[in-house]
Amino acid sequence: MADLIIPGFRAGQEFKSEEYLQALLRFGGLSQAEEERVQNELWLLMERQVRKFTLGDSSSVPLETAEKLLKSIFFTLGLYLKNQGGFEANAQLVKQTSLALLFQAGQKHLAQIKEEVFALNTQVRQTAVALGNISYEDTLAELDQFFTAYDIASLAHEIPCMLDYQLCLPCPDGPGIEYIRDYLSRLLMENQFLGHFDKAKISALLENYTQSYEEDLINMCEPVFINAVGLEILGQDIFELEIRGENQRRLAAILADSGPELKKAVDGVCLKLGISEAKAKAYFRLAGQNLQSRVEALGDKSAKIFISFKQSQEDGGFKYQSGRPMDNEDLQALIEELRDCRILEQKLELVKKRIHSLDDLIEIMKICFWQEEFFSLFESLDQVELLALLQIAQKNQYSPAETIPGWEHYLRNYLKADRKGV
Amino acid sequence: MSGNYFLELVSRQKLARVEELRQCNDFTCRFGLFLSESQIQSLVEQVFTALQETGRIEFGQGILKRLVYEFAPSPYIMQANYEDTLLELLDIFYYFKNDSLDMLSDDELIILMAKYFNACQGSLDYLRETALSELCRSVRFGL
Repeated sequence: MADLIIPGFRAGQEFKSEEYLQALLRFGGLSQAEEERVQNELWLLMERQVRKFTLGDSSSVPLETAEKLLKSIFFTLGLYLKNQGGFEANAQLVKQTSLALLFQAGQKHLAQIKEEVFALNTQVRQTAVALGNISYEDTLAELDQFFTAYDIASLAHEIPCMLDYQLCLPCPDGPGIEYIRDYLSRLLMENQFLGHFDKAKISALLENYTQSYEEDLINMCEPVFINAVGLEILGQDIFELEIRGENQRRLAAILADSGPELKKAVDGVCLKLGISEAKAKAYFRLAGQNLQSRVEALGDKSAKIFISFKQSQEDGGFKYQSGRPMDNEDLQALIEELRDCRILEQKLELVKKRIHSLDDLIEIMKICFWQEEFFSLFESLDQVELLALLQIAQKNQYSPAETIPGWEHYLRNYLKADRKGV
Repeated sequence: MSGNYFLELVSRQKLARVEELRQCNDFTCRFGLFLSESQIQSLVEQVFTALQETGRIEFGQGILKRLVYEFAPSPYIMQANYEDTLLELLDIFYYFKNDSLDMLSDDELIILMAKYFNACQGSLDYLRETALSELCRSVRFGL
């Protein structure tokens, strides 16, 4: 059987659970006789485990199976012993107690941890954010399966589930339930963070973060965290979540000059969200450090880290909801009425009462309004309607031979005159 | 585990197997079968060679004693071929434990080996190349 490699010992060094027993044997000051006793007991323990694993049907197993069973024994013992006390105290414990008893205690300890982790999983489920990300939902389902598939008796070091969802700060690789506990703790903190924000705003943010956030293997917490921190630095409402245009550039400039701003902002966000637990604060502070590294790495382009909502990018910053267009017959009748009108105020009154959609308005403007009449018409429209018209005018393209419609020409002139602050 | 400990462990296991085989002579002598000390040593070495070659490791009581008890009554084993037959049977056993993906228990495999061995009049070639190969294929495919 191959030796498991143990790093060189340094006083106070943290050993991984699966290496702990070997570290104790090697560096724990055991005498030759004590070491032999422990190794003998380990062999007998293996014998028992093989008998259990094969249900007494086989006296021999493939080497790979034996290695797995041995790793499980080391992990069970190591996790239990690490929980008992310091390195020297544990070395004494190993000298004085039979390995079989320690292993039995280790399995009880694992069973306890499994219950705690199950409770943690329940909390994760209760705080889960339903945003439609497939890897997130699949991972939650896999975590539910873990508790039935996890074999404490023989393969305690294994993780019988696939965890596709990427955390904001990935867990270091680890065995068995230790890894799952760490993963769930981090996932819970992220769920609780996301739970403070409006779901629709998170969706709008994620839609601009990646092309198809439902299908991609992304972490949903990170972009929300980044924007919340950015808004905190700007002194704006972090719950709005969106950062666009000039604010992105301002942030990049602030962060280029001052690192402590970001750290202060992370603490500010935690305060506003009521995140007081030391572990959670440390987690988000570390995420903040990662953000700082990215800002430094990106330099001039760091504005891109902060994201606007996808809709506001396409609409140029506002939303216009057009009303229902008129039937053709009604529209034709209105056009006739407008043509018969001699007084401008009457025309404007008719437009105000009967036109509810931009398409109808544009049709009317093409046929029923002339020159200076446009300015009075634009005066009667509100800012949103004017911006919507401008957007349409900007999208329209004309060849050199074509004539630009009068309303577009007058609209541009009207807006240049800086009326209504558009 | 240190290499020294492991060697000591293996040598302890060998001693235990040697003692077991010595005790088997009390049972097999009624069938006219007896293993000398050198034959016992050779068989025990073969156990560990076979385990190494097939990538397996054995704990507790090995299968050597069970093979002896199961095959000694066979009419196709005589003193002249006793040691060689046991050596071959050891190889066959560990090989087909792997081939069956450990889906056959030790007892099941040994009983089936004895059954086919006697059915094909003591032909180890037939046992290895035909009977057990077909059996293990069926086991792997769940038939």
